[in-house]
Amino acid sequence: MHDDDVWGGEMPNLPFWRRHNDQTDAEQLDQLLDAGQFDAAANPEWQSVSDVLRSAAAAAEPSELAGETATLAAFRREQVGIRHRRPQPIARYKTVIANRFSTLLPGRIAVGLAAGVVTLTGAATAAYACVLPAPIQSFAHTTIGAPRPSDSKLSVAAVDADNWKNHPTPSVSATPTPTPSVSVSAAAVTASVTPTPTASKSPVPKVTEKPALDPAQLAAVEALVDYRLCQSYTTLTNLGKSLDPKALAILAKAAGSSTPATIAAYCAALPVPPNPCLAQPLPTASPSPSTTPSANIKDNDKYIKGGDWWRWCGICPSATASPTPTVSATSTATPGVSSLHRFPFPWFWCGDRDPKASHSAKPTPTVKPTPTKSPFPGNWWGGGFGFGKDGNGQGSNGQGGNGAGTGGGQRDGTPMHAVQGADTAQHH
Amino acid sequence: MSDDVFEDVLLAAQEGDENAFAQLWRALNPPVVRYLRTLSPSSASDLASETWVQVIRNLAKFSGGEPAFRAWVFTIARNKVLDAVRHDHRRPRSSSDDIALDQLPSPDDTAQLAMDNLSTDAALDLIASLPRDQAEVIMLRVVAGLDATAVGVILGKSPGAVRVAAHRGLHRLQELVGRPPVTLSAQQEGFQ
Repeated sequence: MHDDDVWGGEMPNLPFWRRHNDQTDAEQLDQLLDAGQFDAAANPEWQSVSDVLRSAAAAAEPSELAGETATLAAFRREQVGIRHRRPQPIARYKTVIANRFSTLLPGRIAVGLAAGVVTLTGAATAAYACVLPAPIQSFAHTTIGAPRPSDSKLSVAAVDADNWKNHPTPSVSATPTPTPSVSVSAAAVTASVTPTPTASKSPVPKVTEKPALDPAQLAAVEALVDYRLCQSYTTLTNLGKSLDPKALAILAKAAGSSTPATIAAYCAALPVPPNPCLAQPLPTASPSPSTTPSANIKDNDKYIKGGDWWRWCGICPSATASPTPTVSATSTATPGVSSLHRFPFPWFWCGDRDPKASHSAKPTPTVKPTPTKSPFPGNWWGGGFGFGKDGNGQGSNGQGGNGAGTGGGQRDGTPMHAVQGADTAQHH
Repeated sequence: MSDDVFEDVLLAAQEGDENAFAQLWRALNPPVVRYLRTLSPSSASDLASETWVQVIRNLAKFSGGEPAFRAWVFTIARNKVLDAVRHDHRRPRSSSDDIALDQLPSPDDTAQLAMDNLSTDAALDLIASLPRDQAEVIMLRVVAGLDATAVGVILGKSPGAVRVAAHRGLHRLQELVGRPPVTLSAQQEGFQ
C-alpha cells in the first residue's frame, strides 16, 4: 500500500472488492489512538504500533522538565507586568468616573459651556453689530441675517413697519433722472432718486476696525434682533405658518408672554431700530410720489398670501425703468404658494424692505427680463436680505439698462423678478 | 487532573500563583515538547519556550476546562511552529535541520532504531518520519490526548479527515516497524 492509496475502510460503499476486516481494522485503529482501550492480545498485528504509541506517550523525562525554572521566572515577570496594567474593576471605574464628572461638571465643564455660550452669543451679537471682519460678517449675513458688512447706505432704519402695514400695495417709482445715482431714504418710507450721488458715497467707517460694542450699540443690536423676530413672526403668521420654536421662545421672552396677542402687540409697538452697522445716520430723502404699481406686480401679489411680504423680504418684482414713469414689472411667471411653503427657514426673514420704497431707476430703455435657466440664477444667494443694496431693491447694477436690479440681488445684471427672488429665498 | 482540580489550579495560576502554574507546566510541557519534536526536531525546546511565554501572556484571558486548555496550548505551539517555518522560508539556511518536516526523507534506520531501543525518543522519531499531517494527528491524538474534534479544530480539518489521517499514519507506522508484533515484543523482551 502506497501513500496515495486508500485503505478499504475509507471507501466502504464501493461495489468492488475490498479488503476484509476493514471495519474491524478501523475500530482497532481508533482504539489504538485512544490510550488504554487497545487490546493487544486480541489484535497482535497492531502490537508493535501500540508499543510505539505507548512509548511516545510515556511519562515525562527529566530533560523535558528542565526548563521549569526559566518558565516560572518568565511567569513571575509577566505577573509583575500584569499587576501594573491590570484593569480596575468596572464598579471602581464607574465610581472614579462619577467622582471626576461631578468634580468637573460645576467647574471646568460649566466654565467651558459658559464660554461656548458666550462665544456663540457674542459672535452673533458681534455679527449684528458689524464688528466682525468682512468675510465673517458676510457669512453671518447669509446665515443669521446679520447686516452686510459693506452695506452702509441701507438700513433697517429705513423700514417703517407700521407704514408698510398701512401700505400693502407695492409702489414702484421710476423717476426720470439723468444721474444714475440712487439713494434710499433711511427714515422715510420711500426711496427716491436724488440728483447727486453723494448719498451713495457717504463715508462709512470700516466695520472691521471696531474693537467692541458700546452699550448703545449693543442695545441697538438687541433691538434689531427683536425687530427682525417680530418681522418674521408677523410674516409667517400672515402666511399661516409658525415661527421656529426657538425664535418664538426668544420673541415670547422679549414680549413677556407667548400668546399671539401679546406678541403681536409687542411687535406692533416695537420701534424700528437703527442699523448698528452704520456709524452715521443715514441720509434721509424726502418721500417721492410713487408711481402706480404695475399690473404685473399686482398679478404676482395676488398669488402670495400675506400681502406684500416680498417687499420687506427683499424679493421684489423687477421694475424695469423706462423713460416714462411707467413701470413695467417684468415678472411674468407667477410664484405659486407652494414655493412659499418650501421656504426652508421659516423664521429667517429675508430683509427689511421698506414697504414704500420705490424703485428708482434712470431712464433707460425697457429691458425685458432674461429667462434664467439655472436654478440659482445669478447671485442666487446674494439678494433678498434687506440690508443689502439688492435686498432693498436698489441694486447698483440694476441702474443700467438691464432691469433695475431689484430685490433678487443679481450681480451679473440679470434682471430678477419676484419669482426669482422667491426662489432665492427658498434656497436660503 | 480532574476538571474541578484543574479549574482551581487554573484560577490560581491566573491570579499569579506560581505553584499552580508550575503544575500546569509540568503536566503539559512534556507532550508539548514531544509534539514540537515531531514537527521541528531541531528547535523543539525553543519553540516550547516561546509557546509557554505566549501562554503566560494570555493566561488571564483563557476560560474553559482542561481539554480546552490543552487544545489552546497545543494550538499556540503549532502556531509557533508555523511561524518558525515561515521565518525559515523567508531566510533559508543551508543546514538540513531546518528543512520542513514534510520534505525530510524517511530515515532508513528509524525502524531499526525503534527495534533496538524503543525509547520515547525512538518512538517520536518513528512518528516524525511519517508524513507531517499524519504525524501531527497521531501526536495530537495520542500524546496530547485530544479527541478527533479538538484535533480537527487545531488543524482546520473535519473530525473525519482527522480520523482518516490518523488511520493512514498508523498503517504507515505499521509498515515502518515492518515486523510482526510478536517479534517486536520478543525483541523487546530479549533486550530487557
